[in-house]
Amino acid sequence: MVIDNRNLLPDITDPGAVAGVRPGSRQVGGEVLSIDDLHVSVHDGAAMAVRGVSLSIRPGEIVGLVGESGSGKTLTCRAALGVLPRGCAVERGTVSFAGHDVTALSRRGWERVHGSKMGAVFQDPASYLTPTITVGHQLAEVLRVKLGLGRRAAHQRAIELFGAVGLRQPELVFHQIPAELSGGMLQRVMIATAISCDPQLLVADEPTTALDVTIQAEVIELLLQLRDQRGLAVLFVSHDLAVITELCDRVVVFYAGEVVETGPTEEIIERPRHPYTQALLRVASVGDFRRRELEVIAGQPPQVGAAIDGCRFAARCPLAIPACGSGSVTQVMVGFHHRVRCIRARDADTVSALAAR
Amino acid sequence: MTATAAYDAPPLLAVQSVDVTLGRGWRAAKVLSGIDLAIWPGEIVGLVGETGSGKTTLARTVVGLVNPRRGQVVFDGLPISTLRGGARRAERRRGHVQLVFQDPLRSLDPDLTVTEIVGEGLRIRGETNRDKIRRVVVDALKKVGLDASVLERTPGQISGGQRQRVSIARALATDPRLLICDEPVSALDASTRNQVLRLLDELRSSLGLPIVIISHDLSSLAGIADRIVVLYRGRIVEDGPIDQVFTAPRHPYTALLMASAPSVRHDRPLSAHQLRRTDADPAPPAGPDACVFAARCRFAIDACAKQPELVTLGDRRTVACHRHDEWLAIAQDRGRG
Repeated sequence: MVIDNRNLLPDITDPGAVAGVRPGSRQVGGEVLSIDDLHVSVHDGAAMAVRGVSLSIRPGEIVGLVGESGSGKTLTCRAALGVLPRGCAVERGTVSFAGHDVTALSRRGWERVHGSKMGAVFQDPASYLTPTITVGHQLAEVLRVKLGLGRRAAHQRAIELFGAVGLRQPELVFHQIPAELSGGMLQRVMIATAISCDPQLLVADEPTTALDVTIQAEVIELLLQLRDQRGLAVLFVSHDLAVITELCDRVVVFYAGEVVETGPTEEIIERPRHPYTQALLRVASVGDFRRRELEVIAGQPPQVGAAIDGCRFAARCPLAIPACGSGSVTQVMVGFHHRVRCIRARDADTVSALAAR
Repeated sequence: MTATAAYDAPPLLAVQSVDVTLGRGWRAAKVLSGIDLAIWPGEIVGLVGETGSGKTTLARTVVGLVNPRRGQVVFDGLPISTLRGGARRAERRRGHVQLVFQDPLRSLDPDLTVTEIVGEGLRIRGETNRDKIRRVVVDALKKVGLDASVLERTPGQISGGQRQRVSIARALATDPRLLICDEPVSALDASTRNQVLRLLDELRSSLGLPIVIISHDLSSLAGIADRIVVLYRGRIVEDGPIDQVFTAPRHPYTALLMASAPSVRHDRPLSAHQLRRTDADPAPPAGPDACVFAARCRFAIDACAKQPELVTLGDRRTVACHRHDEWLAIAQDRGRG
């Protein structure tokens, strides 16, 4: 159940074989973020939207959370950032950041972490910037408050950061207000702000969903570049498995508040073992645009926090058997760092369903 | 192509050399230049382009929310863009061309119920019989696969996929002859996206309804579009049957769009790196007359200082690029080197 790679690390003999571990990472070992058995309730405790999620991220690693809307990936992300919306609370489990338990950190405590140690970018960059103040001033303000830089040094550093995230003519961009920049440029401004204090972790919640594909490809490249150059760890959330595939070292698949499958990206794409992951792959963009019958996942996801006995995906699962409807389903190890929450994960049917694609 | 579209017949909609300028005086910005576009009955056309390329403005021009500065929009033989006053209002009320607006959460009135939203077009048309309105509403909802349980709910109380269906039902209520969907699936997850696309495909087959799908993302057109029109900074740069365009794009921007589309398989013929400009490339020709794509084009030469006209390459296949038969070899060569 607990996805904990600490004990497995010494097993890695050939780093090239595992996408999760890259040579040149700032430091291998010691997780940046570790979430253990996280339970998050919504509607003032009326429903449990995240149930027993565990995951960890090492420096220089990009971990992707994927799932339908309402699957709990954003709540997990927000819990990790300590910014749960009103009415939501961590009921059980811990969130550790750089070895420290931050689950019950005070507002003041979070202030020392936010921005300087943990950066975040979200879907709609324009709504996180003040529309009437130049973007350069907004970034410089962060630098002055968080790093204590002087006016001139902050200005200089802001321009350097704008250049580092690939904004052309950063001196001009500095003096522009958000309305004068395109969505892709604004997202770059947000990323520049998020990495301005050289954080250990960047939490990116659907940062490219609202962007054009050509810009999305550029932002993905920028994140990869930041990972390689700074050893930045990224927690990346997306509903699009195709985007996750392009970017992430490891994938965590969410369904109805639970992690149903996790493993190295290549392993998940080539050998998905959970029927939900297999269905997600069938509906994802496959790079083929010719006329064909489009696949859908039959049925609707359960209500947030619904009490379901047995597997939460069973009602929509083409491979469900009576045994899926009762008891609790635990995660089983099916490959190297590859875990699946399915009682049929090792059955011949799941494997042949895969072959039939 | 598709068996349903009749290309030998005159087009249902013809946009003829349309220029659109938004704003006045020093704020005036030319949003569309020399747009020529024809839509035939029964076809699904994908209109692709990035933010600010003029996709939405083109849709708004077609339904008469924006006036072209030059050129005209002809619907079924009637130049609708030149109608004025009462004639124009009457044409709009008829609802022959329906636009499904972007982002249903923002474009649907949050205080109205689904019944009121879907029935509004009929009331505007002067229908007063409540039973009849309700019948049409239930029928329109049935067409999009929603049952009566959503009738009394407001947009905030239904899921994103259902909201998009309500938007489409609202457009269908007035029996349109052309449906334009502005980014119908950009906010939806993959499975819901495919459901909505399948719905549009079914509507095309069952009602013979031609549909224009506006998108910034090629994957939203995957599997259903017959023809694709690529827009860049207010100009059409490529137009053609989808299988031809996607197997052999003739404009570098189309190729860049394809190379940038995320995919779970990594088997692209060209990578974005082969198509994107680098700092090492010589400066592209600039100026008001330069090709719209020149500033981002890796293959720009001196000739690109003049905007290329759309040239016809074959059956309903047009492209606007001076080097449409040269750039591919250069890109492939770069990939090798």
